[in-house]
Amino acid sequence: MSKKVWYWINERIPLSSILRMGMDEEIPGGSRFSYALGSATLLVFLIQLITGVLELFYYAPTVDHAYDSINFLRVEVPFGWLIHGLHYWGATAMIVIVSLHMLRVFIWGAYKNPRQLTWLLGVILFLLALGMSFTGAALPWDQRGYWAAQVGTNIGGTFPFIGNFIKQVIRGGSSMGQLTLSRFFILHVAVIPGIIVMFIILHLVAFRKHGSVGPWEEEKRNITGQFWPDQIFKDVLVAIIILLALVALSTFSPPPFSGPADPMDSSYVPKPEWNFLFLYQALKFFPGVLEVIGTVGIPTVLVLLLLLLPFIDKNKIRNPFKRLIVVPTGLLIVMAVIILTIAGYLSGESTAVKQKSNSKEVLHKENFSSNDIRLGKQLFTSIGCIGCHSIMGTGGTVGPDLSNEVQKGRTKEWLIAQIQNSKSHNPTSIMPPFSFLKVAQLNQLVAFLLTPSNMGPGSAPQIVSTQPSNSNANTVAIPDTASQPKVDSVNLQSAGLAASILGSAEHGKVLFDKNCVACHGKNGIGKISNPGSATGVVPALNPISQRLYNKDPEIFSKNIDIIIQHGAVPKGANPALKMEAFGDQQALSQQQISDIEAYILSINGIERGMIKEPGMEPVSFFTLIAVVFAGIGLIFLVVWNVKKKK
Amino acid sequence: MKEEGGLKGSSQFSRRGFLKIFSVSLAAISGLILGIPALDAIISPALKSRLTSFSKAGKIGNIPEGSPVRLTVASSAKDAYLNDTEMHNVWAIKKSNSDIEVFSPICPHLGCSYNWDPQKSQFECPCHGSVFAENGKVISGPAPRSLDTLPTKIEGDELYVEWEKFQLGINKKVKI
Repeated sequence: MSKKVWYWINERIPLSSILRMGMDEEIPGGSRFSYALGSATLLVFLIQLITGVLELFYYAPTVDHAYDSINFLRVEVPFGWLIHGLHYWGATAMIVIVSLHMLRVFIWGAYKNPRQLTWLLGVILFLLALGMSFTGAALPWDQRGYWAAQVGTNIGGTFPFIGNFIKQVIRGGSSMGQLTLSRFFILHVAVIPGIIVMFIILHLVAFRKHGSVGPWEEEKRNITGQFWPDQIFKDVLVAIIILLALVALSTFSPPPFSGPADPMDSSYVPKPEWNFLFLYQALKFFPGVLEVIGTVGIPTVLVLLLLLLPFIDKNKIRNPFKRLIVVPTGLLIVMAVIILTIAGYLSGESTAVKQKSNSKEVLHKENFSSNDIRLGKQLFTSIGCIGCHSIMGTGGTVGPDLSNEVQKGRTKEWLIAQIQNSKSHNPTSIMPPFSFLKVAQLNQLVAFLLTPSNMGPGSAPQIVSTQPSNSNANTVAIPDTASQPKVDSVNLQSAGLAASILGSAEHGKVLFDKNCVACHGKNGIGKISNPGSATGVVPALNPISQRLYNKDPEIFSKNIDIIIQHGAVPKGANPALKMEAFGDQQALSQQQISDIEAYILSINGIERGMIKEPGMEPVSFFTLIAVVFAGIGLIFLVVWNVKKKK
Repeated sequence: MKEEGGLKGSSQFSRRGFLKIFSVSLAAISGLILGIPALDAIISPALKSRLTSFSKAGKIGNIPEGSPVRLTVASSAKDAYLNDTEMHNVWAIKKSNSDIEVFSPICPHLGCSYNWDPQKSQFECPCHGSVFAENGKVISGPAPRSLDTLPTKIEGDELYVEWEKFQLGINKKVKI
């Protein structure tokens, strides 16, 4: 029956000869594992294609839903973690395997006559893969992708003469926005993949036309192996190792949640995708007007070298040990790229440090105005200095009294350095860095510290004092583990947008250290005194009040969101410190609040990105497939040995 | 794997056949490993019924007794990654402070919104002329079943209604 069907089909389309063309081939020198890199690339492309299509079942390419839709897939769709993890790590594997494949072809000299066109098509495929990596990273519209796209398109903008044109066309406008995402989306899911499929077919046809190049030693070329099944068997083994590795990475090193894209957030230090890190690092060698060498010059030269390689190196010798100029030069470039990538990976906050030192230089030098002193006095309370330091008899006792700074010989510069980073004067200082203060605010604060006055009743921060006197009705009673206050007031206001956004705990820590640490202490441990409040201290967030804690990350977020959005006034006669309404006053964006919430959850042992519907627990799934493949491997070895003995 | 190309005769045939079987079965198992999760990811979220919850419909004291009134219910439905608050009008008939019946505003025939006619004391659907009595029973017209009641809950002075939808055009009331 099956033969009949096969015959019927082949009468109509030449399936069997197509298969024979793809399968029946003699490989000079026999099959090798190193030849499996080409088919491994094809395998990873197929994985990307399948997982990519599956992601499209859930992904929404709009700036306000892209991030949430991807997180919905990852957290609430069965095996969504696997689909997204495979796609994310597959993208990395693609670049690695393609690079190894090209390196092997380079060392074997397989790009030489008559295979120049195979090489050229391959180089174009490599560039298209880089294009996929660049456009794909932006699609979740998270911090990482947004900033990578922002910087990447700016790099395009440095192109001489037509740079700005290129940048605007890629972005779909002068700035990043919905049209940028739409363009990246359609390029990533339709245009580039379509071109890639065409070029893969051409690449394979060109490869089949001339076959494998085989070893460079003539004597080894006499033995031949069959593509099917010898080489395919090795290809399958390599494919399974890659598959296992990708599942392992998705299980044990899932893609990070880098927080929703926030164009206003200047505290995020963007870094490109790892495969562009070498360019990012190389750019640092070309400051100022020379920058265009790094942004345009080096990539252009590298691409031209790759494209022209078969036409530059026309010598027929394929033995790498006899190609004394080409092979060492090529390997040197590869080494340089690897070293720059590692250096780029390790490099940290160089740009952030620069910004800081600049801000010191532009400080105003004039005398303090009475307005500055007044505003400085307000800041002293509102940012929480008063929690630790006292002035003229009011304030905390954790830090030294600051009533006599002039007598102590403190200068403006010294005080600013102390406020921005106290460790610059005393490495053991426990004072948190107030690096978020703007130059004007620093000036005001210093103006107050050098001409201190009594902290009278009017010292409460402006924002709080503008509220009606019965402000307790509008704000939330600050939670307090000791006395479990009534929760009624919490229901008066609801959680904001941030509570439903899956933030980044990592970036949340950065924001927490800038905005919250002054009152809630390092790592949220608390213990910062709050004179005039019922408990005398600012509530700790680590551990947080049982009333706010919840095992469900979404409910937990909602509980703390109400307080972060709308602020709170602690119980007590006249509390010196009050929780600002960070959301209502737009002191923090909703994205930033979501990051801070993820961080507060994390210090209480709750992962914001906890998988709700795994389909199967990631570790169990990995164990299952590892056991299945190990079992098959065992059967294979036993049968192999039994057959051999016969 | 030193055997490459080195085997000859009948042993070569069996070795090749053996490699073929293993290659194909390994590929098939890998396909299953990825295929089952892929199907699960597409199918099972589609079969999940949407979670509903009770939402406030108003103070019981404010609802007049006797004739039906329109109440607004804000149901916070989670539609995948969208957190939407949908507003719905429902019909409530208060017989006493502890006995309130709430009807879905959707005509069970083909989904139009019906109205209360205070003169005739009956619900009328403008689309196809179905007429319902005050208790929801069909009086005339093409409607296949009585008006759909919605689950209610009374807590203190507050009426809560759970927003639900039902299949249209059939005799039985089946939740979607």
